[in-house]
Amino acid sequence: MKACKNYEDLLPLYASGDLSSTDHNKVEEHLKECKGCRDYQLSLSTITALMERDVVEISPSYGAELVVALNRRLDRRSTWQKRLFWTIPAFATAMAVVVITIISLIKTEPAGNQWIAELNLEHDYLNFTDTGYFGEIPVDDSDISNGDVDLSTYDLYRDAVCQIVENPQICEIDSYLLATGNLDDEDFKKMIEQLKYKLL
Amino acid sequence: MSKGSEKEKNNLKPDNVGQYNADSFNRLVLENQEKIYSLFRRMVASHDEADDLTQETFIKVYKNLSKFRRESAPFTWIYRIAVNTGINYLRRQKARQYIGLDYANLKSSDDVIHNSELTTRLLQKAIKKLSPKQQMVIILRSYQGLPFKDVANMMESTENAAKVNFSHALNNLKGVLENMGVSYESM
Repeated sequence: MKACKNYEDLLPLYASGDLSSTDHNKVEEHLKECKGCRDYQLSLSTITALMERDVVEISPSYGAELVVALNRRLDRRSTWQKRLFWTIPAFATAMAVVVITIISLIKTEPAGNQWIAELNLEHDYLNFTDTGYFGEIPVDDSDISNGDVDLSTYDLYRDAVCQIVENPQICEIDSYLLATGNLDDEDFKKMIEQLKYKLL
Repeated sequence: MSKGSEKEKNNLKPDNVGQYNADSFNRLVLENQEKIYSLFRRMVASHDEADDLTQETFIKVYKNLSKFRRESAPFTWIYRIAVNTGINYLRRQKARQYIGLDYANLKSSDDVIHNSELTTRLLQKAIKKLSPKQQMVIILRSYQGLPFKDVANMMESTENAAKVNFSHALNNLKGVLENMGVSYESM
């Protein structure tokens, strides 16, 4: 079933009632005398009428259900947005703390505390000398007992380090390592042994 | 502008921080859900799919509320978002060569469709064979009953272009139905 070429584009709009009055009259006149276009027109009108008749059934509760579903989705979105809002800065802060900690660990004396602890172990030796000599400080038991010389373990160590750095021949320990505090435990013990030897 | 659309516009007033509050959004959903859902229900085979598309549309509406310029009624703006969502959906389906209802399963033994429900389903099946834009113009004009001025506005074309598109779509639809062996007498 075919329509005349000149009317093919007009007939669908005629069927849907969207032609101007001029075109509408023109089509009506043509339909009176053209059976092919009449049949064609009848088919189109049947299709459009069927579509216009077709009603979508919507549950009366659909609107409310939709609102609930949408709000739930939007709440979930905003929860995630809030989480991201706090998570990103928190993560960035945590990362910054980690980075700063790593940098400070690299820069600080890794075994510094251990040295102090070791010094505590060696404390007996450092205090046992009748006349210890660290740097320019003469150490005498009587001074210690009188409290005239403050010889805390740390001071002893500090002075020992200064002395070794200034007079590297005293000790074989690398003075750079010593000065920067990068001695490991073994080197530290070695240093103490050498100090014992030199000082006794 | 009609009283209804004026009322809808007033419902879209932002609160004091420029945000649209939940109440105004919910009202917007309730006022427009039927039209949007029925638009999608014409396009897809199931309620769930239509519901998904309706939700997708309103989520886009929510996200873009601040961009709504109020030059047109909210309904027109929402419908346009729905039409774009629908056309994109149809394009994706076309790309996947989606086949919903199998015509062979719908055909009655004597090759003539008598049942009006089957005819309706066949018609929907035939519409799916059209291009996404032709499907949309048919749905907007014939099913939703929108005037061409609105159809053109929602499809971002001229009224004349929308009419030409509709004319071609209806002629093509007729051809598809004939290829399917549909008898117009049974409709």
